[in-house]
Amino acid sequence: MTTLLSRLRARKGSSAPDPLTSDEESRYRPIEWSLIRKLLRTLAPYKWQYALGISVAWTHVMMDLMGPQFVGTIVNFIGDILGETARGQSSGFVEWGFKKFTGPIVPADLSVTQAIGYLSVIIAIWALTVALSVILQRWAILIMVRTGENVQFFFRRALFEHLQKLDMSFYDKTKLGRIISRCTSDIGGMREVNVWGIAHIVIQGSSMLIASAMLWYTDWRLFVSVVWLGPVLFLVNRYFIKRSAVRWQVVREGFTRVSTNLAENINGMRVVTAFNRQDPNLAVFNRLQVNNTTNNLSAARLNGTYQPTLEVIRYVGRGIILVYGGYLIASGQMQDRGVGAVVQAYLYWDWFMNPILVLGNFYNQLMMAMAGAERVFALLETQPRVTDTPDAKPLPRIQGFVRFENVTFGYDPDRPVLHDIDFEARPGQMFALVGHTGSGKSSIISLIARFYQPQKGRILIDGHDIRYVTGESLHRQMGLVLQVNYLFSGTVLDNIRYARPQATEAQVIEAAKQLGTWDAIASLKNGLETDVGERGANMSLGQRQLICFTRAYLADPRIFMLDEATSAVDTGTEQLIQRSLERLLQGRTTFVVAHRLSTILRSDCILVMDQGRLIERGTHAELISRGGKYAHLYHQFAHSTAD
Amino acid sequence: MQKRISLYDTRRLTQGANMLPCYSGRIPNVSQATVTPAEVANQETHSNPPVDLSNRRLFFWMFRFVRPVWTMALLSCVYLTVSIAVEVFTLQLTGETINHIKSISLHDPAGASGLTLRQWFFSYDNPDAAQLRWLLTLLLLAVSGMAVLRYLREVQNTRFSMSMVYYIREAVYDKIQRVGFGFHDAISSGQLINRSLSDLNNVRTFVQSALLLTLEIVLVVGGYILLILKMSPWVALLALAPLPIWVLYILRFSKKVQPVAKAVLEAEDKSIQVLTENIAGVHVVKAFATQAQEIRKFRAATDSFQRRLMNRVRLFANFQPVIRSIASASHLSLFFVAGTLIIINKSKGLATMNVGDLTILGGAMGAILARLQQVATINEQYQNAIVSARRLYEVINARPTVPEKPDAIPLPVNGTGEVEFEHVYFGYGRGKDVLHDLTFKIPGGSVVAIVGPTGAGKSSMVNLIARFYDPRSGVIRIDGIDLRDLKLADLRSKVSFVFQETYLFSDTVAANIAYGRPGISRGEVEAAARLAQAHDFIQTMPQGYDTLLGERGTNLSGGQRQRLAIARAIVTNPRILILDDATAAIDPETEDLIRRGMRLTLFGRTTFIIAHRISTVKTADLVLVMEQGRITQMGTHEQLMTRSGHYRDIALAQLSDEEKVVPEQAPSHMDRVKDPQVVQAAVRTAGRENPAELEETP
Repeated sequence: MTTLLSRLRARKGSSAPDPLTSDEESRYRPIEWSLIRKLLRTLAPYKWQYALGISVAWTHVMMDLMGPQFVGTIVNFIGDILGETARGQSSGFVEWGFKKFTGPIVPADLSVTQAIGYLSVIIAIWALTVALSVILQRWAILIMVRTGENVQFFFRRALFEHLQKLDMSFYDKTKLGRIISRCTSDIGGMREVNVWGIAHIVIQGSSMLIASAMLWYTDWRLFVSVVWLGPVLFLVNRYFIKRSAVRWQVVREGFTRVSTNLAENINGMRVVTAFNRQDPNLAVFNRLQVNNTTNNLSAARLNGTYQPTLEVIRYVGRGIILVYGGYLIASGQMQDRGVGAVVQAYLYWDWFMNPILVLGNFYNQLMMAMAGAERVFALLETQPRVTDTPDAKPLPRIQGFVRFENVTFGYDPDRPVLHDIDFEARPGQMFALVGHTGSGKSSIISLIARFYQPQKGRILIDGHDIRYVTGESLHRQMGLVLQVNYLFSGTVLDNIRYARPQATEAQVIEAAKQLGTWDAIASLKNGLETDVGERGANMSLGQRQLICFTRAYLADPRIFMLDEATSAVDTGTEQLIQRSLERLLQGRTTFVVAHRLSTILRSDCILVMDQGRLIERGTHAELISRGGKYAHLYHQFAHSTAD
Repeated sequence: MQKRISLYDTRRLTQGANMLPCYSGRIPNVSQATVTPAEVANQETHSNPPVDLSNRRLFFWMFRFVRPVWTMALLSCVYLTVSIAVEVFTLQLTGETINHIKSISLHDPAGASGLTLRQWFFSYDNPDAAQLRWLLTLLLLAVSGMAVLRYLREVQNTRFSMSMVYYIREAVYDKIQRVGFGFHDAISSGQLINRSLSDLNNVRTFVQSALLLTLEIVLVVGGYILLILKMSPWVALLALAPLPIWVLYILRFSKKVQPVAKAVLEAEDKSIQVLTENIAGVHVVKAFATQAQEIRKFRAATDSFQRRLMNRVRLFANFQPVIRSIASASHLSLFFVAGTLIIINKSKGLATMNVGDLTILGGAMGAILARLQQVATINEQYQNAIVSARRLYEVINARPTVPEKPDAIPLPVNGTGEVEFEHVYFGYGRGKDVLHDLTFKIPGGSVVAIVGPTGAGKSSMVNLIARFYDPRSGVIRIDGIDLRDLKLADLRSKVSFVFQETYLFSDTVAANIAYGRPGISRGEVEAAARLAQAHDFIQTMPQGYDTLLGERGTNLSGGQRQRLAIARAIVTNPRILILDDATAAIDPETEDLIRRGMRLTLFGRTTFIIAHRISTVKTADLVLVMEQGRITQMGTHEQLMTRSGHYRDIALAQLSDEEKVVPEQAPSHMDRVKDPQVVQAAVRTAGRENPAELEETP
């Protein structure tokens, strides 16, 4: 399979860096024992279910494998009655048993009823095996699919639970789409292997072996005459499957370009219309479409060669069996086994051939599963950098002292974004963080929330180093409202009591009233029961912010952190937001990344940040009189508004 | 011989839709549009009447898509017919060959004539040998003919179906581009994307199978039945007896399966939604320490997903055995009847069927049953297509919301950009009016600021200037000409927009700036970027102006995006420039610089600025204050400050309670998740269904 991979790679390398495909993840991966071992370890708890499923499925296939024997027996029986053959031997064990039952068939001695009786018996037995096989088949499907899907869902849940443990640094560097495809397409790619993988190998392998044995047993010369087609078939099959995997990959990429272009232009329809881009856009779109058509045609040409080639091989095998079998019969070398034996061999040939095709296809699925499994396991093995230490204790109810002791921190340890930060906040104080973009304001908040761990120094809350308390007990006493007012789909009520699911509706209303947001919430279309839409799409910015405030208020945190929104809302809403914010901050230790002067003026202490350092601290009046960086920023601001 | 229905065919029925050789990705739940301005978001009315076509008419309507490619379709049908004829012929030939070989072996010609078998086979004068040679040659020809036809069919079918897709998709795409904003307000862009991809594909799939698969089923079933009839009417009768049950059962099953399959997809979407929201909102989850709660939520979602999936599995697990039982029953009774007939005829000394005939019967029966199973596929495709066709019809037959007059004129070259509203009333779709009796006249070259609370109709008003919508009544004129008399393209090339929500395309920075005038020089692009104060940050990007933007490219902050959008608007050198709240994310310092730069370029063009910041509004020549769809105040900043009213209220409120000191944020996790497009695209690319690698084609 190395060729497929290298071709895929080569194709990618040769083309210019294409923005749409350049970081696409590989769909295939060579089979690797370490991965297979990991996968098998995951499957281990289900081994008995798999074993049961496989043995049932195996029995079912064995039942089906008797089919040709019955056909052979019936054909020979009819042949005997027609007096066309005079035979000593039987075509197979079914006929052998049947002969035991009927004795040698002498057409002249056999009455019509007796003959029909014999025929009925053999067909009834055949019907029995078929019925048994049908029942077993249903059973096997149920067991195998249930087991396989259990494994699939095990993976989904394990991934999700693992994701909950990972820290922010993971989410910073991993794209959302990537994480989602881990849980969707990568796990999906493993499905066929988890459900049918082992069964495929066991059943197809054994049915091929048994079919060859049957073929050999029917007539060894017939077996030898067609068995060489097996390897040929396998090679031809692999040849085509490899190539077609490459072509389908091209088709997929081409189609992705069509759909991406379409989606982008529909989403940007206002811009398209405003800038009169309809004609050039249609030209681009049609070019992508032509490319898509060409790719599909090229895949179709290959497929159009592939399928007939397999068919031709199938017919060659059949032809050999018929002609050579006919020759053997005609030349009297097989006379005593009868035409039934040739028919039987003819049918077993299909049974011999199909597993080769199935296993050839399965190989690709296995490689696809390998690619998925590798990424899924890699994610499962990612260790969170911030975890509760083994001896972590729950944080008792805190008063709200927050203390940074010489904290140095960088998202990348080699490039600190905070240097030696040292300050202390007392319960109920409000701290405003001020400074340019990238000066480290948000990082301070992230550290208090223990999204990351500092490389040096420590952070104490009420004297407890937050490294040694449980995350749960810490976060329960913290509130955070960010610029992105994130809502989960569901009702307003669901969202408000997100952090305290056990809160009653009355408590929610009470909280909203205290905060002053109740009127705004009650005036929504369905009040608390209003659906906020996906990610809050049905709510305006202001409404979203008020809901987030109420959510934080209901959680009643001791320490509250706020990244003030910069987005413009109309003045009325803005005043409402300010009023409820004031209420929300009361009596809590608060850190605000401030974007509004009013907020800064209200704070007990301003921390002025510059390039990761805390350069000034104090109240507004103190800082202005000091005439430092803050005073400069303030004058700049005052100037721009006075202009 | 009977086609084996194996254990591994569980998904055969559902794969039906996928069986054609074209890739059709399912687009999972592309959510709400982002382009609709907030003021429109709640409008659900629709400017086009809903489609009230009967299913029957929709059915015929779908086949109109074949018209442009009818020659290809015809050729496909011809190949199909010929190849089925060959297939039936091959089976008959096989039977005859078997019979012939057997009859030869009975009178043992080789042994009798004293020749070796090889000598006998190649002997010229022996009629038996000659016939065998002839039969084998024919068989060889038939098999290779089938192979060639198979290839031709595959390629031709793809060509036919891809060309059909090409034309439909082009039509849909172009309609969506030109139909007008009113239509886009009514149908979200997520829906439109779905319509032009999956709905279109459903219709295409159905039209193709309705033509080809139906023809195939009819021909195969008809052909083989004829073959059987020729051999033995009794057996034919028996063979046909279970067919109606078979078809009925399959149809009933596929009807039963649909809601179950739909429920599975819904449950899957739901669990993906929980996952996506969890990851996008990871900071909320962590901040409130609700991991356990989230895990419970996900468990509940996956539990219901799993339960529904197992329902579907059980349904199929029941389906398989029934189907196989019916098939086996007819197969076995075929053997029984044929055998009995032979025995009885033999006893009466009549001519009987023989082994070759049995082979033919078995083969024919298997082929008929296998093909009839496809009825379920067509049925399923029809059910999907009829729903999709309705949605597609709605797009293709949508009337343009702002039609261009046939005798439309271009805007005169020497206009100054004078804008006049005369008693303009406007509402979205059939909703109530959002603009009432707007009357004003802006002299060319002015800078007009529009202020007012959210929902006052500011964006709606400026949208009318580019004729994105037509007013319900009243007239809007630019340079004295009614907008409805103008060529749309000409009008829009003279009116440039910077929208409230910045939309950039995944292309280079330069291409995004030159969007309205592709092909301009790099110098012009840079000049515009400098004016918009974007040049400096573009310079610091990895590839400067050639840096790719978008999902797979560099992330920009809100302020940077807005500056690019401003550059994009400036570059078209419009007569009228509209900035719809376009500087909200830009800090006052930079905004000030932009304003200074633009003061030069604003010269000679009319500019409308929607803004919340008084500092932005102050320098305008004219301020329009809008409240509840009406203009309530008009004048310069100084004039308005002397009058009591909305303007003075907000101005005073803002001056005492000032805004941003530090605005721009570095791109971070939050930035990415807050951009709904990114999230949507992420969900889209995470598409789950992959087409089977090598699907057998019809």
